[in-house]
Amino acid sequence: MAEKFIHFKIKRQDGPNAYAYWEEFKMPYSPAHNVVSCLMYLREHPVNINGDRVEPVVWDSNCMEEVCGACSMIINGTPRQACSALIDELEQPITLEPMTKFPLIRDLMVDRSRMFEALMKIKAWIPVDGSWDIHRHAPLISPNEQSVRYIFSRCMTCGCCMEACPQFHPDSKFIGPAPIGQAKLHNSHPTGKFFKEDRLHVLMDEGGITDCGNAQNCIKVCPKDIPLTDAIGEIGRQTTMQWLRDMFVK
Amino acid sequence: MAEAIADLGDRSDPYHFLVRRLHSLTGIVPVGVFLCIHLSINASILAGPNAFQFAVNQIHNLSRLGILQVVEVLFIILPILYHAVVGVLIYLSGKPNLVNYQYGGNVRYVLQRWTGIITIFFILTHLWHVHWIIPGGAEFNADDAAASVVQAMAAGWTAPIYAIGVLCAVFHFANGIWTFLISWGITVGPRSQMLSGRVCIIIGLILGLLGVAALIRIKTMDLATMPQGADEAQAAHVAGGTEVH
Amino acid sequence: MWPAEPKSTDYCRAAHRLGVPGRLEGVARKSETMAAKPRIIVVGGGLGGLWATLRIAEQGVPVDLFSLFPVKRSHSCCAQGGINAVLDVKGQDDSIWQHIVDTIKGGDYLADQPPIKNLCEEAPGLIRTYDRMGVTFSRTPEGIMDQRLFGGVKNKRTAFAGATTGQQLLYTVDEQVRYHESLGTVTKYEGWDFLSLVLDDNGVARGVTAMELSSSKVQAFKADAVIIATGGLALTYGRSTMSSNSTGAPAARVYQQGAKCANNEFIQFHPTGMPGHDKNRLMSEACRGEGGRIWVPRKKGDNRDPRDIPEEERFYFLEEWYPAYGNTVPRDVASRAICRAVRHMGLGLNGQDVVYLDLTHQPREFLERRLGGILEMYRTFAGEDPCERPMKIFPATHYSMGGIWVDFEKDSQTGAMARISPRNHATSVPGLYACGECDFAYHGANRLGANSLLSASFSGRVAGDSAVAYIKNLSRTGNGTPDSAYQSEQKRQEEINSGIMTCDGGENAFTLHHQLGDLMRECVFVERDNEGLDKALQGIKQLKERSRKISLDHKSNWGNQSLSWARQIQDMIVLAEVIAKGARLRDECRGSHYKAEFELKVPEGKFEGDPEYEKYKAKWKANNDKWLKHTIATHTENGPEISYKEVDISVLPPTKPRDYR
Repeated sequence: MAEKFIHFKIKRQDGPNAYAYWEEFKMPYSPAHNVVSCLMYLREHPVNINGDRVEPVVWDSNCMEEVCGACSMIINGTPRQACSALIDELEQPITLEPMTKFPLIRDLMVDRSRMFEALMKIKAWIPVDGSWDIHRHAPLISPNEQSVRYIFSRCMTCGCCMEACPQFHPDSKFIGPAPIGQAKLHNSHPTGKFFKEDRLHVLMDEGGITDCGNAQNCIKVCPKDIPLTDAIGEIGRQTTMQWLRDMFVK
Repeated sequence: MAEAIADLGDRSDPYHFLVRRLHSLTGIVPVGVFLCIHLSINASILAGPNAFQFAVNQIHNLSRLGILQVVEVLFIILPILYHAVVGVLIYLSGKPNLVNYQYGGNVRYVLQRWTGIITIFFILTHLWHVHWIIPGGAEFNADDAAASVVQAMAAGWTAPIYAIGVLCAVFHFANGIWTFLISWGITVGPRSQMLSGRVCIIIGLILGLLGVAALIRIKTMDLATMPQGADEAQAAHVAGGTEVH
Repeated sequence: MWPAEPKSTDYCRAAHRLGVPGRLEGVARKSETMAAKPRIIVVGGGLGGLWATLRIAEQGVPVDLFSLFPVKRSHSCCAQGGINAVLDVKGQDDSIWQHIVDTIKGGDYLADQPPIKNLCEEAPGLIRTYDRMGVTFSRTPEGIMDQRLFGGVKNKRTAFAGATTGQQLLYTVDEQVRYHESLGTVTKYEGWDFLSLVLDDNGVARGVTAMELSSSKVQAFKADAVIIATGGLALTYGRSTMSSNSTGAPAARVYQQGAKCANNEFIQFHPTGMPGHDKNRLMSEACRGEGGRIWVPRKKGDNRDPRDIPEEERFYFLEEWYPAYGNTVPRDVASRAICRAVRHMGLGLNGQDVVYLDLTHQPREFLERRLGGILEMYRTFAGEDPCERPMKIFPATHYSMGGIWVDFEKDSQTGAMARISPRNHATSVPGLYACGECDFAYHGANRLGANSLLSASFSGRVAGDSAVAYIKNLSRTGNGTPDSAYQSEQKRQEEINSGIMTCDGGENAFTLHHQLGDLMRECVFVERDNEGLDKALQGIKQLKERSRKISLDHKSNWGNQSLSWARQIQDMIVLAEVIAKGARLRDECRGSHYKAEFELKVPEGKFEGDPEYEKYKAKWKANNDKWLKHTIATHTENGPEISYKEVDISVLPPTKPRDYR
């Protein structure tokens, strides 16, 4: 039997201002590899398809269980987590590209600070007086509400939804789908509601909910199947009501 | 936390939401409603030139009351202008990525933008064509509706242009209803969005059929057999009406 | 639960009542009255680090938070099962005392007991606080937190949020810290690698040096206290259940600057890890609980498809060896049995470190209902359906009970740790605190399931309070330390970097890591013996030599991931030596540390009163007298120097051997 290989075509760029280029790598096949484990092999054996020893590919990863959100990249055209991208399920040559909507650091590594800044903007936290015990139970939450909240709370800020969104890009102010999901999550909490008006006002501003174009790519690429379009619909409703309140009640 | 709340008092653009929601709303009311009325009147030609003339007269009666111009400006021209200008800005704000993501929603996203732009050009063409100059010398004459339309539409280029324009406008409107319902938070979940999607498809199909059928009818009408003049047409229609009774 | 509330927060509460806008405004005003505004540096943004940050920020003290990556991606998010706290909401008369007993006994008495008392007593308040912060805990029908049963205990005591409790807790504290970040009290340095402490002439920690990972730029930062919360060290075993950044390197760095380490030989191995090229993902114990059977083919080298191997040719070794418990024997027993079948009997699949965990005899519908999420994970990462084919598993390095030694102040009245004291969670370097998995407290020789999220959160909170108490007592703030101290440490670190960048020794940092992992998994694993440990120590010495001759494939400073890895592998080797040396010298079996040669076997069929049993008990006592001590490792140029320290067993002294019969 001929020796089997895993064939990669990787889009590389040495720095934010450098030129991008494609480089191909081949490594020996063995079962149960995923993209991260292959990149680990390649950093130890950084030899390209021409036999030249090159600088190892730079990428981001941490948990390798699809819960930390670090290793997002574009694999065969789709943004996803590299750790759960099994080689046996991918068409070869496997193309790896960095996400295009965030500032590039090097090769496959990008800077997703904008997402964390968005979380700050929408006050994605529950107001508590402090981290001490107040000797009382928190407000009750029904199992049904909890299960909806849990799904949104699994958002790992990986950026796949942002990458696929045509309205989110470096030149747009759009906050993107993930933070809108977090706004819904926090608005649904009995105490989190106290900031609901603030969050909605942020989302009624430029770059907020009205900049969504309803392409609904977000929900298709979310690795955690988070119903982001529900959140967009829900925030749409909440902002409508808030707008009416702002107009007629205040 | 009080300080942080205070920060939000000065929002960077307090009118942004209003601008975008008005854009969404004008697409339905009045522009969408106008599209429906317009296409319905056009479709009345399917019932014959007299029925068409009757329908046109219903509208032009407003002219006799002296408010047609007011209605045209307030409820048609300004809203369309507003919808178009904001729409172009929205069009420019996105970076379509259909090549990478060929999902249904993304196809509709791109189509919504393209049909919007095409519709703007179509409306300009349409205005120029039937309201200001007619190649061949004729002009739409409200008192001689059917004949003047048929004459105006005699040129070969009109068929494809009008077909494309009408279909784009109809798609833009039908899909616009769907996105309107989401944007305003009326349809939130996937099931309601799926159902509203079906309703929008039906609306789109009906309007599209009416538009195309009227176009085909106009293109196949024989100018020679048509009633001349408004009064005659009105009389014929009334006569036809009484015949039924 | 926390009566000794810091004064600043009392002010804030008053401010709230009086309608003064914002408690933090009050705090800020208060701190401004201090001569030079003190700062605290927290290294590590997992649960421990974030809790410490939160506590400090709440008291108005500015925090600089350092992490290799955005803190939301920390390894705490991998914890699945839950967090222990006695809420007694399941009608089982659970008690805090029972939680204390379970934790102490679970750790085989090798943990100072006063802090465990606080841990368990304050757990319910901590969980209630989490609940108020909005953690999506799973609920009972009436809307309160649900609790479930977890390994090693009899009562339902574990609060959980679906199958990702750690992630949910981490995100919630991350959000609270982000609030303080929005106020400017917390400054995050994400994408920075902690390199060293800046020590003043008296050996007091006055700041840190860190390297920005994108640019490889080294910079010194001033602080009045430093908290290290950098998590576990399981990457010293190569592949483990840990994240790819859990190298333990920062702990090794402060160890080399004088912080003592303790009990590092105690490493928990999880019996059912999914071996992978990149990591060994955890398969929950629940698989065995739901009827999973562990087996290997009876015939050595039988590489038929598992489904073609008839029942009589399968060796269900757990069921044969432990007929009473079968597949549900405790973690450590299961791990050792698997190692015995594979390593001693050579029955691993295809001669490799793998055995089958078989669920295929159970109906698919049952499995999906009971184990849905867990099976989904196996499918995602192994690409095989565990309902159709047996899963392939092997014990995996999972948690480090030992770590940086930390102090505590004992409250003479309660017999517990004092509520607030600058001594709590202080390391042996003044001004340096440690919390979370990188410290050695609470878990002794073995950790109870679902106690890790608890100890990470709790110790972070304690360390934060302690650091604030410490800086209040400081006469001279870090700003009084001459700039030259910072400059010279920065220079020293820059020189280390340029030394590595220019070295042409031909060694590959990533290959070294594999070899270190192979060595540790061969010689310092589930079963240990002195011959193997000597071999490990020898091997580590060689690796240490070779790690000084690393050549990097990355030549430029920008995005140079090899540089930080090269430094980390050097530090992992240092820790590996501490682990191996501690293990080599500890001639007994305790918790996760097992040497067959020194196992004290309970005489079969004999009970108290029987002379044979009494003889055994005397041996057990003698063993405790000799070995119920913390291993303390002190760094020297020639490797770790090991000494021993008494354990505080004042809460629950061991009176008789554990007996599960």
